[in-house]
Amino acid sequence: MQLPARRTRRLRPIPLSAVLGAMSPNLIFAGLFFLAPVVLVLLYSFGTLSYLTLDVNWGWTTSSYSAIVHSPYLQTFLRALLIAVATVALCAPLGFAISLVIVRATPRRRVALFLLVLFPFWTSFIVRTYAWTNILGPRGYIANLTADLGHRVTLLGTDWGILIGMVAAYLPMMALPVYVSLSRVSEELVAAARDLGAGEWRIMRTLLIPGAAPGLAVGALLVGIPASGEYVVPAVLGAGKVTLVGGLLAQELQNNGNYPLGSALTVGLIVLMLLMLIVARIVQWLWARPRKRAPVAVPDTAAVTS
Amino acid sequence: MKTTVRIVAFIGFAIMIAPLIAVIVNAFNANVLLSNWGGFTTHWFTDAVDDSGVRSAAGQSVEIAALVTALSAVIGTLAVAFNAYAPRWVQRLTSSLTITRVMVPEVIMAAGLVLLMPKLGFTFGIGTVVLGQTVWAVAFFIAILGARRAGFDRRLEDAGRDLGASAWRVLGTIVLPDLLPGIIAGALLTFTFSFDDVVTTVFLSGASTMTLPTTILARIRRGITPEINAVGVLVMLVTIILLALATVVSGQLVPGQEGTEI
Amino acid sequence: MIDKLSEPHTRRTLLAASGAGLAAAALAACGSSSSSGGSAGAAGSSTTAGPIKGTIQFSTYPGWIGKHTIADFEKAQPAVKVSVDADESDFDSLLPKIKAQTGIYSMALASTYEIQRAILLGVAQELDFSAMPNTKYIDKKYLTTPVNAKGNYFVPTDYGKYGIAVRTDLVPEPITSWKDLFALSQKYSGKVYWYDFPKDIITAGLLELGYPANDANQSHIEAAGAAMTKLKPTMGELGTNGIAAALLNESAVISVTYDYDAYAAVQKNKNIKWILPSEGVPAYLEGWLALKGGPTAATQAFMNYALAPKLYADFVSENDVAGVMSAANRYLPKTLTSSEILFPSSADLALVHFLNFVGQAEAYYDTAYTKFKAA
Repeated sequence: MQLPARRTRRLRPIPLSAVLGAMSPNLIFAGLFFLAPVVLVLLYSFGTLSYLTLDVNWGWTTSSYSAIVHSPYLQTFLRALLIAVATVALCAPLGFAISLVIVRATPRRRVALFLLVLFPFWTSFIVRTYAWTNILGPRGYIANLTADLGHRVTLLGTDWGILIGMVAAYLPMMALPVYVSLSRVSEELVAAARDLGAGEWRIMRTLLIPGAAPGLAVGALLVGIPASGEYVVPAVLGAGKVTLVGGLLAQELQNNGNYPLGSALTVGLIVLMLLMLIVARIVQWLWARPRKRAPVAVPDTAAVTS
Repeated sequence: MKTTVRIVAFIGFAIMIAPLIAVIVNAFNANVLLSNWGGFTTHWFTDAVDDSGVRSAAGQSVEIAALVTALSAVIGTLAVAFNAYAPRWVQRLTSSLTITRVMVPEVIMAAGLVLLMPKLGFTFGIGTVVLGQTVWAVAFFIAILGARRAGFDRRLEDAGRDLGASAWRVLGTIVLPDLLPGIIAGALLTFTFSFDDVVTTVFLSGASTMTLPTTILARIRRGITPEINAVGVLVMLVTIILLALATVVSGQLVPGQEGTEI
Repeated sequence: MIDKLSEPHTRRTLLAASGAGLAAAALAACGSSSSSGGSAGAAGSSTTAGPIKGTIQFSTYPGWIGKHTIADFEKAQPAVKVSVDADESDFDSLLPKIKAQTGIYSMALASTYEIQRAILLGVAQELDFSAMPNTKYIDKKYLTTPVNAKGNYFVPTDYGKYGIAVRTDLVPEPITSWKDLFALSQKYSGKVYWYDFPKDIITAGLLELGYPANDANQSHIEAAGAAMTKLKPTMGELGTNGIAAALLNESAVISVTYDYDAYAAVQKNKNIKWILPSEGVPAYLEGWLALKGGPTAATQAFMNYALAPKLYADFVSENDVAGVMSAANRYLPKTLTSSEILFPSSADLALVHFLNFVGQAEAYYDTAYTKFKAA
């Protein structure tokens, strides 16, 4: 029996009302609790706060925005952006190496390595991050080691400490998509290149890294975007001294009741996120652009067949 | 080059695993300052279990996670199961909303909800936390289940139709049972992430809503208390069991085939 | 994934969705015109109303009460439950939540200026002192502060000062002023610990610059914030736990903290010296405040119970604070009641500047502190 050549994608016989009824809870939920809040944030960001009554006055002032483009709010954004970029920059080579090792491993070993990558997900994020205080704290392993060497170094409460915590937290998010891309690289192609005498570095440069590129791109977004708004890592490893955008948002909204300023900060974060998406799109476009090739001598077929 | 790759990979693994080892080791460390090994003890575990704050927080975490999972599973399964029968614009709308919700940083969603909830007349508490987490959890659930649905062999459905079954029958007897492992796996994963959630809970909880992660955060702010490590190990055990179940049920351990020589 | 977001049909559907979102938001905005979603405070304050029962949501510092007081009270009044929300953060940062949701807390520990702000916001519940006979034991001067001018809102429990504790064996230089401390901070960078409390930190900056405490001048306050921000990299720890205790294990050689915190450390190491800088120190007078929407009768009963001199003394000795009830002194150890740290000599009293409510200027302190933390 032959299956018909063309199938319609939609199977109509289930009544439209039932289908819409089933799909709508998701849409209504998203509309009400995801889109509406974003709109509300935008509206609030143009309001002002009366301090003594904690009332928000609706208006159209840009005072909150002019506040956040000045220090120290601007610095907080820049610091968050810098740390997010640094996190991606560190996760990329580490994630690439991890994925490569996993792809090359024998099936049994691969399962074990995969478990190692997934294992962090199997613990509470906050406990995992808190664990770094054992290593970075004033009485932690690094501090004790450096104290013996002369000058006690406490990384807790510094930007470096937070960066380490971020990389540790987000590395799996980079490794997994890169693994998916690397596992698609043609084995035969690489074997052929090796047979023809290409060195390991050449293979990596021309086959492996380009092969991993889609995964790296996805990983960069999966890491970079959440990292820019990260709340937990600075809260745990910042020791009250380092505040990133997430913590600042929480402080303004909850502790100060300053909804306009908090909303303006939120909008700033959204803008940051959109910027990252745009940059990613541009990079992708640049990467996919056809490259100029040297003209190849093409035999004149007309001359041959005439 | 190959050794360089292995060294870098080792550093990567070490960074991911080191804190976990530290947590496990220090959960049994008798030295209160945790600066050196002070001998083996299990009293941090008994302390943690005896602590009524920890117990009630764990209970609230479970309660919230269960509600979020149930809500997300129902909404998500409906959305995924009926997706194929929906008009194009509904399909695209659903997928856009799913992608954006998964990508947007949690603080942005939570901030917006802090502003919205009082306007809708909600008081901050378990209800608002559940609603807030579900927004994201549904998208997550759809993403997981959707991947599975996409991999579903359409010819089975077509065969069922050809044999005379109504679309409803096909849905109930072919599609849904195939989705079931994915639903269970998705539910277990959603439960785990909800249990672990910090941001949405911090923003949307009332005075007495304390989940395990927020309790831990509050205690961390007050000073380093060693029993947190014991709590961490306990949470690790629970999460491992749940995720192992999810992996087994979904029948998928590691994507990909034999070790490739690339 | 990125491709999907730029496809034209996706953009259309996103726009459609935004439309839906806008409609929802408009609907929501119709509900109220300001952000105060909670019910406005009731006009009257019927304080003696009702039987003594309910759950008291009590926001306070951890351990800031006698060890057994709460448990014993619950036994004496089985219809009442006291649910403690022990957090190190200041009461000021709870006000937005309290304003938005009446009844979220029934009772809180707060400083006078915070309580005045609560009264202005309309969330403070007036208390009936005639139903709380034990208030008579509190020294009169603390009960008649400006906070209670319009009604009895405030039950004082303790006061304290924010000063400097030094390990004199590790710091040979003499420290007699905030200026000295700021100058030395670079040398001992990383070993100077600060207790993190918004108004006290900014006031320390004000005093160092030569401005008065309770300054309401915006540019002065901003300058103070900037000065503290400049000092921030030298702060080994900025927290609420173990600030003076760090002097004992030498993580810190100088701690800027409260007198009760320093007192505990001084008992354990005689090399620790407590200093009141020459520019003066910020001081607080704090106590309990009842909030509207809670079980007021039960709250009054609880406060009254805890004010019995013997139980009050439990609280004082538990925390080594300067008490406000001379009648309780006979239950306290002599070392405490005669401590110069907690009860400065009359010469030093001139250096103690109680922080008062400065009206709108409180907002400048808040902003300066937020900027200090964000830097």
